[in-house]
Amino acid sequence: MAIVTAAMAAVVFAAPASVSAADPIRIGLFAPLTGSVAAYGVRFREAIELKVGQVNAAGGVEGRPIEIITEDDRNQPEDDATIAQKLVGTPGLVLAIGGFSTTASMAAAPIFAEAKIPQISPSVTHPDFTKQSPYQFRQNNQETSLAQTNAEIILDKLKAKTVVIPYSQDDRGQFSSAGTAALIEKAGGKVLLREPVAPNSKDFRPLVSKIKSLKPDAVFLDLYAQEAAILIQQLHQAGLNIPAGGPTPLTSPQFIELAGKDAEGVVLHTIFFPGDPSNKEFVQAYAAKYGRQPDQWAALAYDSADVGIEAIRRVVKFGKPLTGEAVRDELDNGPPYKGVTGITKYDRGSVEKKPTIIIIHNGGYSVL
Amino acid sequence: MHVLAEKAVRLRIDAVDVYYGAVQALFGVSISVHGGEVVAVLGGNASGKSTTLKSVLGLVHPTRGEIHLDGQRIDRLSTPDIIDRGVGSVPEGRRVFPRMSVRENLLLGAYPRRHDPKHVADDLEQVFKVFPRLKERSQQAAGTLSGGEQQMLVLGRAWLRRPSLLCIDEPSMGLSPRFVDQVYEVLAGWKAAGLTILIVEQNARLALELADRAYVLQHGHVIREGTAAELAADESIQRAYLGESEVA
Amino acid sequence: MELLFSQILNGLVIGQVYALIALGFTLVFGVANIINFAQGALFMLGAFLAFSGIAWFGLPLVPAALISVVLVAALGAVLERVVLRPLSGASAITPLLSTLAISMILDQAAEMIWTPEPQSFPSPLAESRIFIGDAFVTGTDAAIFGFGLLTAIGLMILLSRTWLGRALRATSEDRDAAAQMGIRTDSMRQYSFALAGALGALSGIFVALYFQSVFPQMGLPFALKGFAAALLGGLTSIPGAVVGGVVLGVAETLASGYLGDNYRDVVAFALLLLLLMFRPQGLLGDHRLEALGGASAAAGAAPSTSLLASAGGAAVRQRVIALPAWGFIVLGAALAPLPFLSSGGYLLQAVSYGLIFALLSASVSLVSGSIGILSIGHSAFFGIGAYAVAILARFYAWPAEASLIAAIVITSFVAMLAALPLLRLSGHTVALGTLAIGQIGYLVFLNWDTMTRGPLGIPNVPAPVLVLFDNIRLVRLPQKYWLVLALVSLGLFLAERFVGSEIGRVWRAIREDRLAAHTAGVPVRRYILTAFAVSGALAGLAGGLLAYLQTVVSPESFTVELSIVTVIMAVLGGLGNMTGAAVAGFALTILPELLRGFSDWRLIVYGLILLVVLRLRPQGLLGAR
Ligand SMILES: Nc1ncnc2c1ncn2[C@@H]1O[C@H](COP(=O)(O)OP(=O)(O)OP(=O)(O)O)[C@@H](O)[C@H]1O
Ligand SMILES: [Mg+2]
Repeated sequence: MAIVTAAMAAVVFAAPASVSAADPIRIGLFAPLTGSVAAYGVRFREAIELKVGQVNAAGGVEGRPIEIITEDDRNQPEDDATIAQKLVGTPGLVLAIGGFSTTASMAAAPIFAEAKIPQISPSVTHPDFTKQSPYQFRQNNQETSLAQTNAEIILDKLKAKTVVIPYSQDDRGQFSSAGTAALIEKAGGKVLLREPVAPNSKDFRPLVSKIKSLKPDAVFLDLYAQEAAILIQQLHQAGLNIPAGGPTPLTSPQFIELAGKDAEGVVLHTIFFPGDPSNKEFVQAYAAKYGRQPDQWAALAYDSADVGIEAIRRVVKFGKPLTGEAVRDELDNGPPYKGVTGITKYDRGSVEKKPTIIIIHNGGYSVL
Repeated sequence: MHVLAEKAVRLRIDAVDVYYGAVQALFGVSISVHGGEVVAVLGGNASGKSTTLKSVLGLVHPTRGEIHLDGQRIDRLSTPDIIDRGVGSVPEGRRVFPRMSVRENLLLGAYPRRHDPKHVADDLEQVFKVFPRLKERSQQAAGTLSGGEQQMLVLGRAWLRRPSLLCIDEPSMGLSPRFVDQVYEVLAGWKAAGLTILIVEQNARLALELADRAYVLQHGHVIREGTAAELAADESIQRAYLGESEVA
Repeated sequence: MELLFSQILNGLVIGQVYALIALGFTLVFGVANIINFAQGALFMLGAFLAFSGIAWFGLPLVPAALISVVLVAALGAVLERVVLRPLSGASAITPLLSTLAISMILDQAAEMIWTPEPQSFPSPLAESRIFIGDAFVTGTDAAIFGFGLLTAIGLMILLSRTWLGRALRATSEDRDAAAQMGIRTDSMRQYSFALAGALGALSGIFVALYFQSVFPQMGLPFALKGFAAALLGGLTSIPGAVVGGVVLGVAETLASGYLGDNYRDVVAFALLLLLLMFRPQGLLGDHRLEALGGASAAAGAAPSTSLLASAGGAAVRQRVIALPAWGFIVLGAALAPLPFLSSGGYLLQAVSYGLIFALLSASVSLVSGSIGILSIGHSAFFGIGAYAVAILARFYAWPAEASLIAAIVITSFVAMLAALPLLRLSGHTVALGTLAIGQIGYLVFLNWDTMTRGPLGIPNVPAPVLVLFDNIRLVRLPQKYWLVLALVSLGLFLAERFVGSEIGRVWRAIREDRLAAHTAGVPVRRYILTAFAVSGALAGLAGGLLAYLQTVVSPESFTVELSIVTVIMAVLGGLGNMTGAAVAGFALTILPELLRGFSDWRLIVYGLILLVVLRLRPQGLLGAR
């Protein structure tokens, strides 16, 4: 067994031979494709495959096709480090897209930095990520600016003076809810309860009873789609029909699917609004290929791929040698790019996109 | 069933070899049991007595030789299949079901007769008559009974099978002389009622009193066979297994 | 007061769900003496098959549920026949591991069939509800309650009043004796798996109704609660399973209601450990028989505390292949030139992880094999080592020597503490006890924000600095690889020395027969604690190295899945065999990398390989010692 493993290892880990100019340009994608957060990773993969398919159908980048190397990291940091090593060792790879969570992305970051390969995370919102090195880029807004919009929803749209904020106990939820709560308190509102919801926790009845006893004006569901759906259903079961708001993850159509009519009236914000006419082409192409509406994760991944490929295209067009370093420079200094999630203009790896506030209405979204 | 059949060979063990892994425990052992007869298998520790019984019960399978019960070959059958052919067993070391009640233990003996609940209930009363102690403790967990009580329990359990052939492995093991005598009294009663019994014993004196015929095993070989009276009178047997010479 | 009432009501409902799951475990454990880790997967399948019946074939709920229950029951019986029965002669640990492999395969298959995403499962009963003040009960709750009680009562009647039930129980107490009563013990095992499958499916459907959604990952978290409930109740007691489920449900609901949802599981598993400490036989377990040396002692077989012992009592032995202690140093030296042979970092990174897991697997094998306490909780010890190094190196700028030694000492100490509640336990109970320890570890990492930064984890762990070597900073991967290689070789060397020493012999004596060792004057508790201290030290070292190699330490690296994987490694290598543990730890870390080509099929192939290896070498690749 050990010998067989060693022999197989020698074959698998051996780097392929050299590259020539007609060879494909490679982009790495690593995201959870199995396990409990696989839904998000699968959105990434679908959107990126869609984008790359479109680019290749249109002749690739100056005649060279793009090839995606997809790896499943199960959102486990130890997988991310190994995958990052695999990707940086892949000939012709000049860009990596991933991962999903902050910790997963951060585990890979030092390896990409050392190998001088730019890394774009479609989803990470934690400010620290882009501080890792000049090679880290994000596509999503930073949590600090998202918190601003969360607070705006609670105070202005839900018109709440007192609010409860259950949040998912992970890097995103912890940061987002703390920021939001601070802003509310600062504006004179009251956060009656800010409570973490443990990963895998699905039974919210104790929380619901507690919320009911606090009699808040509104609830802000700083959770992912499934948890938020269960919670809002159980709140309504308990006879508590207070206004509800939510952060960007709830713009996943999954939320409406799972919560059904209980999702009606929930106020959200997004940087990707499928109803926006300028996004029509993407939405239609995505729906045609995968039979479902794209959500914000798909849109962010789509833009990540597009921004990255455009940077690569510029490197090739300007006749510079195609290296990770050159792509990084183009990402950093490139012109503002208008994608489906708004305008990408990198400032030390981060973006500032304008959110749209929407409300769930008749099983769809409308701008509020 | 009648006079003719009673004389017929019920069980025939024919030149059987049994292995545990690489270790051979039985070497060409042949034993036969006729209807209505009590046959004892004697021998010292590790001589292969229990293994012989296990091969009859299908708990081990011989690599050579054959075992026939009522003319049909059984050495390839599983234990429950053999039990279904009317065999009852009193295993070595008693093996009560410790967490189940005394009553449930007894009922399990009647498992093959479960579709005849009326007779089972009657027989259960019979057993309680023979062993009044069991009746007193019928709701107690069997694991909490004393060793002697457990032996009564497994005898009663085997009897509830209403077997046509009863296999008993060392019913005297670890019992005080008073209890041993009680056990053998019960067995003598069953013999008188016509039950066919194959019994394994170290206590040769008691076994030879009960048995019609006996076999002596040593290192997995049958070294002697004969009627109980013959063997009881044999000096070498007396020396080796009856322990009288040492005492004298 | 009103709130308290609502919370208790909430607890009763979720507790009833746990009770249903616990009943499935209890049944299989009672009859087949197997902890069935696949129960969670069957539970999930039950929910999804009912979902498919409704969503794909347009069936109404009740027929869809019935079909699902029947199908899953059949699947349970098939699994018993195909996967578990061939292992019936092997030691108790082998079938346990097979059920793990099965659940891996089923979980992954479900993700492929139904996608990894949650789907809606509307409950027709959710709309009807009754308010009692602020508290409320929905129709779903009532159905869960009614069916839960009916099932428990039905099972009790089945087990105590019917021939089938008596035969099932007899089989569980003494298989050979049961066979001599004419009971077809193989069929009984199969019935128990089928029944457990049916119960699993039923509870899966209820959970789906309760949450109005189904998701492929629902198996494990609920299975863990089911275990905990079964163990609380006494593992083989039917009313115990129900009481255990309800106690667990109410306790964690109160924890969630009054301390915060993040304390829910901490309280659940701490409660379990506490109970095991004071009442090892569970709430409704039978103490009298334990005093007799347990059921098997009463049955006349030698009382064995070891999961290595086979069902027949005598352990089946294979030839053992093991390196001498110095062999690990030689092997380490032989692997040293690797960085010169490979250009990329991928191989080095993967091999470094392989080495770290080789050490962790040896650590698990040491307690699980040598002392016979199967540990499904080593992720906690691994994590403590990792966090110790991450915190000391990053926030206090300790050099590598100091922070690694601190990691070793701290982990060793915590491992000893963690062993205290386990001292009175043996066999399967102790394994589930370690599971609780692992869960508590994970939850502490997740919740102790001020120390571990909670879910954010600790990124940017600095490169190791060696003060004894002129303050050299090991920045580059080859340098880190050498550090890992040197310390892993040393750790394995020491582990093998321990196992081969007089102490190791005493450990094995305790494993074979704790009672006999105790009566022979061996200070059993001290030896068990020593084993945990040594194992903890090894796990702490492995964790510390992980922190340096990975530079990010976060709770998701230390989940129950990791503990399960390391147990698989230890068993597959041959329990108690350090060489085997190291080889299996290394191979199973590299294997998923090699299987990347299978993409979605990866975990299925992995599970199948496990099943085949377990079938061919039930005592592990290199033999247990
Ligand atoms: N399960 C087993 N595995 C291996 N060897 C066994 C097994 N059972 C019995 N043996 C061996 O077979 C031989 C015969 O054993 P058996 O149990 O038949 O002896 P016995 O005559 O019944 O002895 P005793 O009077 O002590 O009960 C012994 O050497 C024993 O060690
Ligand atoms: Mg014997």
